[in-house]
Amino acid sequence: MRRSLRAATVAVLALLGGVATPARAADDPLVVGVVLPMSGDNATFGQESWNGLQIAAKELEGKDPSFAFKLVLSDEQSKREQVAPQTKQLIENNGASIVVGSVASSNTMQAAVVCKEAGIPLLTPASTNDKLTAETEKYGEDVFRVCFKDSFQGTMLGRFAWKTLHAKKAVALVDKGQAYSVGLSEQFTREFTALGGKVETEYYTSADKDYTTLVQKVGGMKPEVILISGYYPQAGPMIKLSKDAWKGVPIIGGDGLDSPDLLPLAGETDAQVYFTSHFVASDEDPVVQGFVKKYQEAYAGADPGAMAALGYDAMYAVYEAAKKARAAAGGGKPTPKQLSAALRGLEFTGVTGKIVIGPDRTPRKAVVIVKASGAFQFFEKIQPE
Amino acid sequence: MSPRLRLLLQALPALALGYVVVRMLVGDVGGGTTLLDYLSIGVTQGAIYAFVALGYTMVYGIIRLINFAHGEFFMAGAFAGYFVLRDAGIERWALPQPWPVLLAYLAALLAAALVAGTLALVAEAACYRPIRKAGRVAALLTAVGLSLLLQNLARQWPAIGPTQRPWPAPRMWAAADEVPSPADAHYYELKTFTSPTGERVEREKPVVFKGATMTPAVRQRLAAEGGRNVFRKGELSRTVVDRSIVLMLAAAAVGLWFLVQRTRTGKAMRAVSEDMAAARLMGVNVDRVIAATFFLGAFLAGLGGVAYCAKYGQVDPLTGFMPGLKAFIAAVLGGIGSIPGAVVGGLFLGVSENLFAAEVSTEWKDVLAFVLLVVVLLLKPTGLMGRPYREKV
Repeated sequence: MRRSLRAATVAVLALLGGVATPARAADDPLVVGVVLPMSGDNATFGQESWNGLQIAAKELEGKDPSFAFKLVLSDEQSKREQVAPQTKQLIENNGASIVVGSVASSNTMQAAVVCKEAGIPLLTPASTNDKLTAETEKYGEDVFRVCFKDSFQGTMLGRFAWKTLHAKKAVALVDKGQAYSVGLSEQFTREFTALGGKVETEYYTSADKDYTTLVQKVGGMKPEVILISGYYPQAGPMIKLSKDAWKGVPIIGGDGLDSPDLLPLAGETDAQVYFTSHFVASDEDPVVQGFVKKYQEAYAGADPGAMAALGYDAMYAVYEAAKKARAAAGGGKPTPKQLSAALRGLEFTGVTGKIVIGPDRTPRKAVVIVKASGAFQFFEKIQPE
Repeated sequence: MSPRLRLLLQALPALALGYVVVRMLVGDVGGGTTLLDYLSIGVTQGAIYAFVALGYTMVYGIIRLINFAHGEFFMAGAFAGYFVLRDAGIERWALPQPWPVLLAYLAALLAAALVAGTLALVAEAACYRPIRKAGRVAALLTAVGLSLLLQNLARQWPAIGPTQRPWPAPRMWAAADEVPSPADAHYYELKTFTSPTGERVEREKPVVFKGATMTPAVRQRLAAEGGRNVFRKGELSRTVVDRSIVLMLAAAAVGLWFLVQRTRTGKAMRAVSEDMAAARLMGVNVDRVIAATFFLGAFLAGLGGVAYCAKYGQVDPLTGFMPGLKAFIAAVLGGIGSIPGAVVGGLFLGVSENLFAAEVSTEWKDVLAFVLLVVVLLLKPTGLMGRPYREKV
């Protein structure tokens, strides 16, 4: 209730022309356009990311008064067709020098096309689809991320299913309408079959809410592990419906499951659910715990999810890049080109680990395996080799 | 077609349906992968379609209007049920299972039906009545507009908002000293936090994990903090939900039959549906009959809304869209304007969709519904149970 109230307020404010972090002294702040799903299907993704960004922004205001910036938020409502016009607006009307967003890969791709045309760098906190940085003809050379890619996440999922869960036969549930879902399951299938496993694929659409038949059918295929390749609004109800049909079969997924709504949607269940993510609040790492504490203070005891941590890191990436670009530009406000150049090879330590943006404009970083049972529990952290 | 063959064609599906329903009521079906399981899934889903299709068909029967806003009455009902369950019902009462849950659900269903019905009354009086003489196209466009308006009002209204919410699960409260070794469930604590802006926010925080052992330290802490706030989450079992949906549909169908065939209002409805002008001349209050029809249809849609959301576990402003569309197809399949047709159409669509998904392809399931619609309209334009349309001169 409270959360939705806040979301609604944010949405209304966003409609009225953006929520701004007040800039200090400088009259020409660096405008950071933020496009996120604050409402609709993937609302918790946008809300958490924005919370993370704001915590970082507030911190930076106190830490470095010479860094004048302004965040302008636009709510894309989890709708693909909203992303391009809103991104355009951020760039043309608000004068954004860099765009941060969005979460669902298919939506970020829309933003990337607009940014490419405008020559503005795009930094996505959480879109993991490989194509975003690989298909430069479509999405340009200036797409960066602070998260890992699905080729890494999918591979780790495949290994986890094979080595830790000792599964030989998997069923992957795929939503063909989501680039993330398709990409993640492809990578998983590649790794899992290379190790000697067998994968069968079934399809669902996010327009549907009734997965009963799908769930029974998959249960009847007698898999040893089930991959739900997609996002929490679909994964939650599937887990809820699967209580009998998937009894004892572990369920795995990617970071699309990392939402505070996943467990309430799934209900009280015996299911063993594991997913790969960037961060988990129950990680005992002191850096993580420091962030958890800040987040809980700012948001009335809520635990941050991975999206919050990535939002925080994305803000720091913008800051570090701006600092680097400013040094290169001789102290003035950096141009989009200078920011883009500064993001290449950027190095800093974030709450989701050490971030070194490599030649593929993606950092190489650790993947966390989260066990979702009653709460998100830290299971394992795998460093990239 | 010989009468005997026709009787056989009607009796066979009815017998099959009866068999599936009886098996659903006496045993645990729907959890496996046999034909019977898929049939029972189809029947449950079809029953929800039927709830919504009844409203479509009744309104069409009486004023020849396809009320596209009907899916939004369904959504309004679902939200009414959600608020009752969340604020007055199973998330608040510290009572033992299962009677409070049952009572809360009855209250939620009643609230849902009344809210949806009232909304339909308002919509009818404000939008449809003024343009009733303007022709069917104007009414149809109004219906589409009203549907979009209600969806977007719900999105903008802060109490509802644009985001989907998990359906309330029963909280089963326990005192800290009663928390057993948690082999069977997770235990949560309800904590109140104050945000920097002064809002008070309630949150569930897990305190004891399933399979973990209860340490003396945790027990002590819970006791010290007044463990009255400790609870575990309950669930409605699938079989209970499925059975209730089917029984509710049966009760609604019988009630509706009685109302239409055996009461004065029903007689008036039939009269208006037959010939509105003549009915008016005979002293029937046409406006009241039409309003009653809208109310009844939306009443059923509200029930369907709670059933649907309780089964699939979430609610949002677009909840009514898909079921509304499918129910429209079901109503046309069954023969729009025919009350038994709506039930038959709903069940037929639910069963064929799920059998298709199970045996052929989950990916093409939604395509099937529309293909069925086209095929039935080609072969039998009046639908499965529809009477041939008599053009009035």
